[in-house]
Amino acid sequence: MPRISRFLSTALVAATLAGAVVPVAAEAHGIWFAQRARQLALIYGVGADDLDAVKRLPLVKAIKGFDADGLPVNTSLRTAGAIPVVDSDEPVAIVAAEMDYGMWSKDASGEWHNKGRDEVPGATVSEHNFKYAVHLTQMPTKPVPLIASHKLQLIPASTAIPQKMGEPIKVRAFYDGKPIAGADILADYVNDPDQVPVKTDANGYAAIPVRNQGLNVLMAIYVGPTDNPAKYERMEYRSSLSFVLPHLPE
Amino acid sequence: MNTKSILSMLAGLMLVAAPVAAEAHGSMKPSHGGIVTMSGEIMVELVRGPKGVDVYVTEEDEPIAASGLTAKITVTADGAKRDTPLSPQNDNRLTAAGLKIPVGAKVVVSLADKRDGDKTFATFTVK
Repeated sequence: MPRISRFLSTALVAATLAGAVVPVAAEAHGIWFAQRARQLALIYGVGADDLDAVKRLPLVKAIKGFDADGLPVNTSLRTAGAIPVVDSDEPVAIVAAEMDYGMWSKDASGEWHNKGRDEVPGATVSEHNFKYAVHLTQMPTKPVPLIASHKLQLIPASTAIPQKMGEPIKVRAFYDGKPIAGADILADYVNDPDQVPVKTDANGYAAIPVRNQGLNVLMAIYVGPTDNPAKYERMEYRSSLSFVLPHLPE
Repeated sequence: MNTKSILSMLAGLMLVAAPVAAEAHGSMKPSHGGIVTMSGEIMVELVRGPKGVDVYVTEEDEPIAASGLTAKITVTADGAKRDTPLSPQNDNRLTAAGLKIPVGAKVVVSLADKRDGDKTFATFTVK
């Protein structure tokens, strides 16, 4: 029993320290794509929380699709009951979405307000949140393009995405079109959203294991400087990269 | 070790040894002499003939009524892409009368369910 107590104590200390060094996530939700009833849906949430994406559709500023040759495809979002699904004229190899989640300020009591800090007296945190999603519907045959309007984007470092879970994948994060060091990378935003993130290196690279023989939702998080100090002190970007590894043939 | 433990252990071994259950989602063989592809559980058969192109749609061996679909066929050949509507015929058959598909063309059949707008794409390379 003493050994277990020592173990628990050590674990508690480690957890506390981890909590101390991980920045407080003001708005922990992200967006990604996932298959729902044969259609590709835009998901808003974190972990297993699949929240109301339909009511947030006005915040989606753009949806883009590209075919296997990288050429644009007419793509939009269509409300299908409780979920928004991707609608396109032809098959898309890459689909991308961007959401401006607006300004959020936290007051002294810990409550969040969808306002700038100038409207929340005593705000302890204030930020502007942006969320992006890129989904690969098939394995890329050429480098995944950077999407100009995605301030933060995570791409596979090569076209050779591992096909078995557990194998390492190298990814690269870009901010403003340039590799960004120090971005947080999560290997599985759906099934392990509280994992300690990996940081990108000086050239924007990070290596993580492919978590699932199924849907993989990787997430990059970066907190950048404000462009409107009167309203918010920082800008937070969350950018998912998702793809599916095939299961055994049926 | 009692009987219950042994049974539990055997059940566990069976789970380890058995591959993921291969669920049958219907035949993947062409029924009209064409070429087939699957999109999820939906099978699309493309048949080239002297009078045009026929498309047959089934889901787990059950025909999907062509009258419930809005469909088109896109043929990309020699760098040119051309859309042709597919007209619903009897049962699960759709037709593009007079359409010729050259060898080597990439073909995409687009199906939209009239009830809910859900889309299915089936891609072929004609050899």
